[in-house]
Amino acid sequence: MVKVFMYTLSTCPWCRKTKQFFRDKNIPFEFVDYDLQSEEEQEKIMEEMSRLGSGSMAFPFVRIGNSIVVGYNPEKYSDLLGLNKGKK
Amino acid sequence: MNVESRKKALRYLFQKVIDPLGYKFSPDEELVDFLLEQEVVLEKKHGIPFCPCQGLTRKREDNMKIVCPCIPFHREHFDAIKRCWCGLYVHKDVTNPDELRQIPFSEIKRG
Amino acid sequence: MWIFAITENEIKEDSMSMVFPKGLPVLLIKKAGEIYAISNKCAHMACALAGGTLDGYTIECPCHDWKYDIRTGEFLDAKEIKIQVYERKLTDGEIHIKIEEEVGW
Repeated sequence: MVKVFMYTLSTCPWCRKTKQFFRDKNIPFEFVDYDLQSEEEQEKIMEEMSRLGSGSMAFPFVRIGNSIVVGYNPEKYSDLLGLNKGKK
Repeated sequence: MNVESRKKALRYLFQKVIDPLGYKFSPDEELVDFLLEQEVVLEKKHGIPFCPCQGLTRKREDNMKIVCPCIPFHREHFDAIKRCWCGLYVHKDVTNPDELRQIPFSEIKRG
Repeated sequence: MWIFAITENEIKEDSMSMVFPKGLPVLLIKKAGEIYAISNKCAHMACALAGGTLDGYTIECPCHDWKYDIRTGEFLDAKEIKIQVYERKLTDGEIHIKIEEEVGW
């Protein structure tokens, strides 16, 4: 199964919805709440986000395999997970 | 400070800012309530009601662009997706906020 | 109605002075010999602009760095947002500003 990892904020409702999406689909994932990390750790995350993503500090920042999705976007998550294939 | 009264105060202050910009509070009251509560938490922590959906950096200049309502600093982006990143504010003509998607600015520019 | 705000020589070039005609928080700013009168409350969260910094005709709020043109009251990042600017006139070395009868905040 494809690996799912996300950077989230403890204050962001869309981050919660994102986690719920993967839980509902029984897809295991790991997450790190950016706002609860040390300054040093935040610097590293920021660097990674700007390198891989949109260059903004918008959350959630979701990595599905090698693809990045910024924002809560269930359609995109499903596409990347191949969940739509069977239904079509 | 009482959280509920501060939420009301922020709502009153921000309404005056977003109205001339063509935005309103989302009709999703549950979401609005949750987000305002997070802003009160952030204001307690930092003294400033930052956006609950964007991350703080160590640069004041960057951080000041995500103080709620941050619409003036992300106008092109938010106008394109008809909502702010959090979805706390939506364009005045939006009746069903669930139809709107959180699209990052980088994809708007490409599109 | 026209209300006395300050005597002309009480305010120095490039400096600010708070006055409260009829209880209204008004900020007077002298720039290039001209005295401008704006609301002392930022349109964002009502912080007092008097504690901010002046750069040319731009005043920056001390709270969250919102910037306004002191001549028009326009917020520089979204001109739809404005703080009140008051008409003013100089009579016998005194600056008077025009306040609406029905005071709106």
